[in-house]
Amino acid sequence: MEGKQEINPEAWVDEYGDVLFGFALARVKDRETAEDIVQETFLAAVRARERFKGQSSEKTWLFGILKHKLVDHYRKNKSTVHVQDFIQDPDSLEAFFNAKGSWRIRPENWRADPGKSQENREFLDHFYRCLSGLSQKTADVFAYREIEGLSTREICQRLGITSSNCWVILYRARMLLRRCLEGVGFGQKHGGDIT
Amino acid sequence: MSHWMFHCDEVSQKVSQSMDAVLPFNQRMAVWMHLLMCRYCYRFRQQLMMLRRMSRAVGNGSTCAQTEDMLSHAAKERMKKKLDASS
Repeated sequence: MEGKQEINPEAWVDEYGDVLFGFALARVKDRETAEDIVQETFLAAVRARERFKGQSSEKTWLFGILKHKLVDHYRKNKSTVHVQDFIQDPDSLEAFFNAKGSWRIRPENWRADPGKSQENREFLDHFYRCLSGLSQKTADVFAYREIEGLSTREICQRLGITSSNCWVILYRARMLLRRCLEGVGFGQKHGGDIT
Repeated sequence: MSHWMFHCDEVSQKVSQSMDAVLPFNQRMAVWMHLLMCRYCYRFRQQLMMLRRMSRAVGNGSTCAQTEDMLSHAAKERMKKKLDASS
């Protein structure tokens, strides 16, 4: 059975419930919501257990599902920020550039220092709100690549897309996310002028 | 336009792609030439690097707050019942 592991969903609650809950509670407003998200994570894991191949640890696998549930939560939440609030036509990345291929909306200097936890917290809040404003597929590909750290090859296999398609989606996600983060105030105003 | 010179729109694509794959040597050179001369593309690259650092931190919880709170006994029992019913 090529190393398939025995899966015991009820034991997950005792073994991983607290760490998943702690992770979720740091990212949502109240205990009740965090509990719901952890429960949804376990239920989704039960439904997807056939796909768990034991390549990663059970904990890593459950955390992967939890992160997607958190993004879903923000997506359903009113606090979602839509990138179209900051750019007129997000479907066309040409909106970022003029006819000569130069920046039309210039990238700003970002003021955050990743070493400062307060700024991390602020970034995190903006980050989830912006991520949840992307289309489902774009957000999924970005989350797989940048949050979970999967290779593009793994993402292609998982979603049944080509490498070049994956690069296009990642490019779109990064362009829209960075613009959204600037739009919600992550950048310094002086650099973000429109030419 | 010289064939080996990229404009900002092309450089932004190549910078993004370089985070997921190794670009051919000539493209890497062309991108770096451009980055040396264009502060907006340089900023763009810095933004993507930061987006990656922070996203990975979100993923492993290393720099983000991780509360010490634990699930209540009642919540755990509720979850087990749900799991039992669904499996």
